[in-house]
Amino acid sequence: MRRGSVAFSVLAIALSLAACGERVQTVNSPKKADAKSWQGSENAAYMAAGWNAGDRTSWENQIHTRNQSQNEYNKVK
Amino acid sequence: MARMKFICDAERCIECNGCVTACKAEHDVPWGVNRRRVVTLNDGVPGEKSISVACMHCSDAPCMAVCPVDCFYRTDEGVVLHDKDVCIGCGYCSYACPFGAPQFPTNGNFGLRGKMDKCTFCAGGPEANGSEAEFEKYGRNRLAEGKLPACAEMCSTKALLGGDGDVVADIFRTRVLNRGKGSEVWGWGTAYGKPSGTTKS
Repeated sequence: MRRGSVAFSVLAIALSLAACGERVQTVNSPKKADAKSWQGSENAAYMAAGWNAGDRTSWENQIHTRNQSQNEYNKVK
Repeated sequence: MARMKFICDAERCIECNGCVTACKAEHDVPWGVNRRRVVTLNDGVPGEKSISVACMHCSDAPCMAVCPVDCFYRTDEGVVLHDKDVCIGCGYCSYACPFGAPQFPTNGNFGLRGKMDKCTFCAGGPEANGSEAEFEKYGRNRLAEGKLPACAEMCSTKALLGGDGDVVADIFRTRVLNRGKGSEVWGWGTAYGKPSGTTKS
């Protein structure tokens, strides 16, 4: 009887700790990394003037300025 | 940091389909695929309203959530893009998208469904910026050229606004304040109706 309860306890402990030995499994997505927009384009001929490729702040300013061209209230002020 | 968004001013859209044409031409989009289209509400009825619809580059995009092969990603500017080399063309994204943005080119006599294609906010995809491979799969990368989406920049009435969400919202707000109406023309009220017990303003 005593031997049975010891065996049961050992088995219970072994089962409860079984997950501790599992290795972390992660799925590595095959997605490719994308270049940042502010790094510029290979098509130098199509690049808009007024900003420097590779300069993030310059790109953000360029986009902001370009965005204002959609606001015609700037033109009729 | 800019968060790129589109908004269409239904008071200004004249259903010219210039945005659709600009998109098709800019990205050499194949027949049967419309990354952008104009939807008209109450067509033919006086007071009809049109809006230009494409991928809205959702902040919590359902297409990303349901994709079984995890081919979607979001750029630093909040543009939702996908890797066509990973996409299996299952179509889950098209069922999840509330705007019908994901498109599937068909090929062959049996309408075999190809890789998903959608609006990229003119930001290309996971290939070298401006490369031939990027153009073949995703179209032009105007953002990397310091430009904004062709559809918005080509819009003759400037109904379709695209760019940094804060700037676009400011432009739209200025319009509404100047004309004294129009905030209600496209939004929750238009899509889902007014709450019961309220009168139309």
